[in-house]
Amino acid sequence: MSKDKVSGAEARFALRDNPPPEFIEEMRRRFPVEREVDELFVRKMQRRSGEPYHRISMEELSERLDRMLTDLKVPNYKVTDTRWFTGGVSKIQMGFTLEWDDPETGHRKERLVVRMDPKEGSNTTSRLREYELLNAFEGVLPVPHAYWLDRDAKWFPEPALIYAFAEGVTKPQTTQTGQVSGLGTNFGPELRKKLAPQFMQHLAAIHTFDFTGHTFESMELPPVGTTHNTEWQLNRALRIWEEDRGEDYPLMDVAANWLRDNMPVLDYVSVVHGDFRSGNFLFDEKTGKINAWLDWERAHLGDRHRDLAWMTQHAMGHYSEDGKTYYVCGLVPEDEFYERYEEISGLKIDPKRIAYYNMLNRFMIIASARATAYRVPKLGKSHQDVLLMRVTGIVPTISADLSKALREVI
Amino acid sequence: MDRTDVGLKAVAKALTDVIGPSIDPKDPLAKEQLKLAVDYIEFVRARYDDIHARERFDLKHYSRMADAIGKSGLPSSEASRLAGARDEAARTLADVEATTPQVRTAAMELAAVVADVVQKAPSFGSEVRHKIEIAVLDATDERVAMERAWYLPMGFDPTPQLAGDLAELLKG
Repeated sequence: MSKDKVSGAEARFALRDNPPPEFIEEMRRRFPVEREVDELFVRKMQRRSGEPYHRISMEELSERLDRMLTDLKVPNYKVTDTRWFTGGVSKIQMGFTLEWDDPETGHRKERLVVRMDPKEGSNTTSRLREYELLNAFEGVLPVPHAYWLDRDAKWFPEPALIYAFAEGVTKPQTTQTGQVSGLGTNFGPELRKKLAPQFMQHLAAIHTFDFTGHTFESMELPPVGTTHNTEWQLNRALRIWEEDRGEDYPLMDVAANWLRDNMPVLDYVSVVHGDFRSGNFLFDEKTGKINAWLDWERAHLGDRHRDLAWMTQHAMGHYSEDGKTYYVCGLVPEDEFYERYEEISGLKIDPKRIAYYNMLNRFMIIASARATAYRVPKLGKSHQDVLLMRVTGIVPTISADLSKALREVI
Repeated sequence: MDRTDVGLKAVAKALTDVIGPSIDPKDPLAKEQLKLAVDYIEFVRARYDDIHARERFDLKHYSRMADAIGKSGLPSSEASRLAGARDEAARTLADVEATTPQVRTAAMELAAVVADVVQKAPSFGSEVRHKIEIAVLDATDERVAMERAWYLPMGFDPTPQLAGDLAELLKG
């Protein structure tokens, strides 16, 4: 872009590369969110003018791991077989094998994963929240055991979580579908039969999970009978859009106007996974057993309709070969999905709330793909800058959906 | 004669033929990113000649959106601000020597005024608000169609066969 004449609009958006304290405070005032989310967003903006992300070497990451295990006094440990994992769009992931003498169970040998933030990623989320939820759901759902948390980047360059490596695949080895993060995976009739009941049971287990015996430092409880929850989720999306974008897009302003005016009241508090779909569970291809639910970083306490609207988006599933049946997440026929959910969970589905969260989810995807996926590579902040540039390509499809949905309600 | 296209082709070839085979097989992320990098270079090659046309499209698009919003019964101060921004955009569009960055800047300036009006729309009364928002949705159709064709090589379009012809769409 030319440097000889910077317009008012260009200067306004360039300000987000090096936001002054007043701008950060303005975002906090205009878009209040949960405390943990607020702290993460403030941290993001305060560090924005800092150094870009430079790839950390395997040696350095291993050294950091070594320091952490030493400080935590893990007895007689040995780290081997370190390797990079792909697939993490938002987080840097390194696999390794750890041998140690566990004081309770004796000598152990486990395959583990370090999951670490880049300097700024495709989404700004809490490792503490992931850690707390993995702990809470252990024994309730198949989730990897979370071993250690480096919440404040004491040992690693950025906050990190260490959890057990889970065996399995996200999609059948033979399929050509689901190439982008497992979206639209076609599991085929045999696997579908085995996976679908587990998928529905696990979804219901999350939404009906009794969290009253658990203390979550990273999540706040939204009051039933109010719009607090919706406000937090809407403000989160609006704040991402405002903090990250590099241009105006009036379609988003129309959507924001509608979303502000139509916030639903919360009828029941659930744990919301935030990204419950194909691609985010690992399964054994031979037995069809789901081994682990991953990616809890978007989870929160709130409205189950947020998850339901997310997973029923048509980009997440596919139609049968004859084009007559749409499979939610490639697993459950759409016309059966809602009925089966109500039956298993005992929770009602409100089509109006589904419609609201459909709108909000589309807004959120565009905010990520048009705003964050611009700002992060512009400043070279992540390990996946080149992938984020590609993600922008999803904007026209989602914009068409958003525009169509808005036409039906305004 | 500009040789950027040949240069980008050479870069992609170097990455594919020389750099690619030398990547550590234990580094799947490097392999994955090399492919993404080459794909993006090919995308730039496919769009390089159209970048100026795309910036002009954006400016024409916001001009049409501003025209439609201007007919919605805005308060006079807003209407005159929008008309002023629209006139400035028209001057840039009429200037055959306007550079690509100048056209981009003009589009951003006009878009800023349009977006500000849309953000304020709830305060103008329900009838005016409705007209403004419908004007935005109507104008968005052409932008979605153009961007759909523009980003087609990225592979996200569920029905690529239905995407329009980019050259035609860019004419606006």
